[in-house]
Amino acid sequence: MLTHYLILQFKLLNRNIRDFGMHPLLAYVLIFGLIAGLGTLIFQRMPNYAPYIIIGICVLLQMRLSQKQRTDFLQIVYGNKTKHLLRITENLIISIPFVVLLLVENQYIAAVALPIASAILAFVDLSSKSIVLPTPFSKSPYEFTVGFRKSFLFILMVYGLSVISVCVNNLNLGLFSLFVLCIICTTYYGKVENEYYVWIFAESPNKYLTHKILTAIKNTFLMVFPMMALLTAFSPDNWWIVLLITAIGMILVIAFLLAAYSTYPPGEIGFLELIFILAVFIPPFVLVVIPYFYVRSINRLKNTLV
Amino acid sequence: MIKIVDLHKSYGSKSVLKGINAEFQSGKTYGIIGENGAGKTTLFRCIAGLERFDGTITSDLQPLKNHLGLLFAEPYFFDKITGEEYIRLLCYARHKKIDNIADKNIFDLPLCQYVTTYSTGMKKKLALLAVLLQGNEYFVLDEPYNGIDINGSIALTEILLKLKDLNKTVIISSHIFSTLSDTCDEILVLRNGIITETVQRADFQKLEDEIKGSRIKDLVNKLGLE
Repeated sequence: MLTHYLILQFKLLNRNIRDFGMHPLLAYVLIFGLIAGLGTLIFQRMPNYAPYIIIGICVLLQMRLSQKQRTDFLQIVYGNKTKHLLRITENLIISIPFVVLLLVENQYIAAVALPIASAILAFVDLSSKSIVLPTPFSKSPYEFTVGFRKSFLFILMVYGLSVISVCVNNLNLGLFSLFVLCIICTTYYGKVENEYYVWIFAESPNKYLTHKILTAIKNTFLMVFPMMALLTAFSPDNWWIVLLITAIGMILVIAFLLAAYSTYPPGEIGFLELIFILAVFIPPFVLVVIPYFYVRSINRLKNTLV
Repeated sequence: MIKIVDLHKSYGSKSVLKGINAEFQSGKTYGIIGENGAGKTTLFRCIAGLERFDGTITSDLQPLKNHLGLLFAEPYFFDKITGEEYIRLLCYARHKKIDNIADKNIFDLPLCQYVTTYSTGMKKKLALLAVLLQGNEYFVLDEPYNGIDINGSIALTEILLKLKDLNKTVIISSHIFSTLSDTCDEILVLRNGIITETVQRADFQKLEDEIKGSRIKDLVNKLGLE
């Protein structure tokens, strides 16, 4: 029963990755690369806090599987005992790359603590009737409204990191936080919405995209502004670096947005993700792909918007 | 007015709509009935412009989709969005400013809560309310009564009658015949991708009797229930 469930989950995950327009194998390589890269960077920049941050990131990911609606379903289908077994297994699987990272960094206590915390978390059910989190983005729907709420804990962590950067007099760490915050904003455009939410707009594809881009720029600025202000106040001479990173972040947000709509309706791309990954790792290339994705998005939206 | 001429729609080699011709007048409500898989939802998607098709669909207001309120049988909602934010999103999409949403919340929905916490009926009411507040001229409502409680159903019938008074064009599908006979001026019967009958109000009873007729009894008898 346990094996069957895990195989099913693996299949569902692969389907979701394919729907996103990426080959699963490529996605796994990227995820492991991201964890290894970010983890190493965190250990380099702030060795004292790194184990806590790594454990925190892992727990945040595991919490996504602890939603009450989901755990209730597991209980109804498999019964209480098997549900707990399943949840422990899921959490332990998620913790594997983080435990490996901690072991590589010689953080043995944290490497032991993480699986224990993961197993304990398997017994926690998070109610979906959570308090509605107010956002400053509600008036310009919807990506930032939803994204802000979904990534709230990550945002808190990144802002916490920026405050620490000021406390430990490390501007680079602050700039890194700023960049990560922009990357969080890009994830809000990681997937194109259901066709109904495109269809309802009484706008041409051109106006629709322009409107989306302007909203993305405005909301990204709203999101990063307090951090920009903090870092600029901390290091006034380096205001231009803060501005440059924000600008790069905004360009990435726009690139993500256009890349997503260039696959509309989702599930038909092959080489696009490769172009996009290239663009992310070779920043100037982003400026080249943005017009390409824009034209492609317009063509894709023409079927739905008049 | 919406006019459909020789509408064909296929998915691969499977032909779903095989030459639909119909005209939907302003100030009238039309019911579409048909068995599951008859093509009702596909027809609605074609009217909304969500599907490519052969044939023509015209309307007196252009483009049709920008004046159309579309309610799906199973509306889709985002996670972490409140009822009020959902209504604002739909109105915003049509450049419709909306004030005092609370006053317009005739279904007493908990608009400040996430939609994911709503029951099926509440979600349907929310989707319907948002479509109504968009200020559309045409309405295509796929199974609007499904999942709605008795009070909600009564209110919905009143809303449909009000839309007729306001000279709107309304097309609805329902598997509950009484909801159609209470609200519709005409009922179109969709079978195997074509409209086989257009029944006027005076003949609704006859149509209901036909539906309840021997065919269904025969099917039930096939179960061999003991």
